[in-house]
Amino acid sequence: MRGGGAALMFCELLMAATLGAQELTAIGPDPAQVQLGRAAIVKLSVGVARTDAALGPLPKIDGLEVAGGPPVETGTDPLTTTWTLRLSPRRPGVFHIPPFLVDAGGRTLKSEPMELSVTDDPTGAKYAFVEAWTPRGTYYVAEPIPVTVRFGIDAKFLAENVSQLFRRKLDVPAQLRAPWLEKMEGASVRAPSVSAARQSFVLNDHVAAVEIAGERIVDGRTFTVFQLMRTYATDRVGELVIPEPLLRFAYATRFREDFISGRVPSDHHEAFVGGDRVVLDVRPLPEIDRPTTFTGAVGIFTLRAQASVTELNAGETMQLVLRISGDGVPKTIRPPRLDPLPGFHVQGMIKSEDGDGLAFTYEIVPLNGSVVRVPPVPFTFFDPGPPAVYRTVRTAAIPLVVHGEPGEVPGMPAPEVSEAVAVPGVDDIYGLKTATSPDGDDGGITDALLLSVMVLPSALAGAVLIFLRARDRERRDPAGVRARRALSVFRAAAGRPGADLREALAGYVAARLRCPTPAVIAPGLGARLRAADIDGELADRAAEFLEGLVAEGYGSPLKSDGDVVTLVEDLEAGFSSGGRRG
Amino acid sequence: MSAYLLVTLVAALGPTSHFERGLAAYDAGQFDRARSAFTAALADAGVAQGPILYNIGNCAYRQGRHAEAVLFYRRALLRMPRDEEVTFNLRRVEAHLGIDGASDRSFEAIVLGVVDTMTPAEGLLLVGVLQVAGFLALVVWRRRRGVRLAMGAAVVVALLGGARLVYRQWYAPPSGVVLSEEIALRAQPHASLPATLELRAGEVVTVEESSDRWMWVVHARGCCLTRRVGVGVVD
Repeated sequence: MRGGGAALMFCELLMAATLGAQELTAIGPDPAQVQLGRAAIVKLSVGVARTDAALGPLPKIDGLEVAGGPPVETGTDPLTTTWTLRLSPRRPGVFHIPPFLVDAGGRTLKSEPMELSVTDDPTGAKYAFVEAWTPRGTYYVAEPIPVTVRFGIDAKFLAENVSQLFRRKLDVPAQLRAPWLEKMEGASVRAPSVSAARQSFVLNDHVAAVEIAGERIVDGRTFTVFQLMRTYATDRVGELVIPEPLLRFAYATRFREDFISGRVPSDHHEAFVGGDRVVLDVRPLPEIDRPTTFTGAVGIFTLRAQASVTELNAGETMQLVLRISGDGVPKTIRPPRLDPLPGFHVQGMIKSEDGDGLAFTYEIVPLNGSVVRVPPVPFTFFDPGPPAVYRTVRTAAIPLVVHGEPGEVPGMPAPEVSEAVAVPGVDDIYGLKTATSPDGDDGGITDALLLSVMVLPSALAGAVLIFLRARDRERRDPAGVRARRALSVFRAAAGRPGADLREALAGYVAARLRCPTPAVIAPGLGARLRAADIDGELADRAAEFLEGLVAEGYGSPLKSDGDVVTLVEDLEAGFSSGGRRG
Repeated sequence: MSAYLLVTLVAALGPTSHFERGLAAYDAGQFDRARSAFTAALADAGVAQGPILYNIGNCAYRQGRHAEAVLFYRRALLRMPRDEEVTFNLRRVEAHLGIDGASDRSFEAIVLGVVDTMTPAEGLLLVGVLQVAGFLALVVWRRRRGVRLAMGAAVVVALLGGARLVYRQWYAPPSGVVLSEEIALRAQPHASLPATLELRAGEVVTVEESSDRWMWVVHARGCCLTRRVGVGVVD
């Protein structure tokens, strides 16, 4: 009994010694504070053989990549297995690292929690930036999520200091670390089918192409901006995290002139800059108003139908190709339901995808000679909007000539009541205008018309106003009107050869003196003319002349017509100047 | 039977004009073909362009080319300024692009907005009628003070409206719509120079001057030169 107790004590001591050897030793992180882009190392050691130990699942930490290498055995007595873990931060900050787990001989050993402090790389932050951008913060399940990653480098720094990062010369000597641009857990990634990317750079660990996106002014400095785009789609509801991108580039501060290579950097430094992560809210597709014809397509789509033949015999097979193009994710799209397709038997369908979009090729057979068309085929998709709504589009009916015995062709089934149809003017654009006026009236005007309308009414009004003012003036001065008319009568008479000017002269003088014509032939005419501001000599001449009229009436000869005209013009000048003086 | 023959005949003959072909293609969901047909219809002599431009805008919208849709809706709006369908579709596509369609709320902008809801022909007719009526009344009732004042005011309004028409016809610079996803504005016409401003697709600018390759554009946030290819002129 005593011997059995000693053996038990020995076993306990041996186990205690073994357990002591199985303690997990964690060294690191080394260094405990790193700059962004640099890695810190953690070493985990346990005193058992490699075959008896296994590293547990590595913790997932936002912004910190933890990668483990293979276990390494060292020593013989004691035997130690060591794992070297690499901690690569993607953003500055303090990272709290939970305990690492190691399974050793059936026991799970835990390390102590650790902390890693990460600071910005001042050079990287000063001369470059990197960012991920999405147009919205909220998306639907299966909706295409366009993500643009842009990075920029100070244009002057890029031209003068940035040096090649690798042996292979790159157009943009930079490396973008963003594994999610190629593969993301829980989401599909699609690169654009047509890209303007032409500049070589390094994406993760291989050469790729990036597009120049122009320049950006930040704090008065110009950055040359590069961008690359991806489209994501996820079938998971909840948060979709696009992790922080990290940009790495090399630069030199000193250069030397080389006879062959030109300007060659004399030193080599590396810089890093990180971007912010993007957190998107992914919502489920609404259940309300979801039509039963919904195909799973999310986005905006167009639908075209094409028949392989336009004429065939009943019972022969033809192909109907439905081509769906749009910005949705093809793999999520189910084929539109053709069954029942009135007048046809649907034999089968092949799905294919090319640069133009998605194509569903149906093999269909017209049942009888009464079939005159391939009926419209509905396609229902979810338009994320705004506003978000289920939409149904239909192909146009395709005329068909089917030879064969006539038969029954039932009509298309009526649309389901639950089907939500976009209402133009509410949640869809208004449709086409089906008429255009044949006279070409677009409401345009010619320059001449504009000028006419702007000038003519004013000119016309001005003319009417001048006329009316003249008329008013005449109405206010009847004597003046009589005088002007008398002068006109005299001038008209003077212009006619052989006309008798005597009466016209008398009428003119009477009008000017504002008296009846017979009253002109009276003594004192000279004085009356002088009183009317006519020069004395001219007044006498006129009086003498008019007295001559009386004599002429008794056979005395009259002076020549030229004298009369001259006299009247002189008198008119006299009356006018007198009138002005008056 | 005769009706069937007629339908078959019409189907065989198909639409006759570019416009009708565009309508048929659009109904069939063939928006690229519809757009080509409508574009060809623009060259047809003696047809109003407003509805055709609107239809091209619809095709562009259905094709997902929203910035181009904005351009064509705005071109249609020049010809049909009070058309509610054009206005609605324009606002909708601007919403798709994330463009704030809210307009200037100043008094001047509101007044000019009211004036500009008329086509030039309508405006000219109104100006002409106001002028003639005002002048006639001024002539006929020129001794009645009340009428004279009212008609004088009518004539002044007509002349101001006419001045606006003259400005729009001869002096107003056209507006433009950013067609590229993003365009950069620069102080000088050199692509290597830094950008002073970036504009997004669908944003509207005023095109002050343009050459074969560059445009001087004015935006609420600034004015500078940009490549001509990135901007569609609303004409």
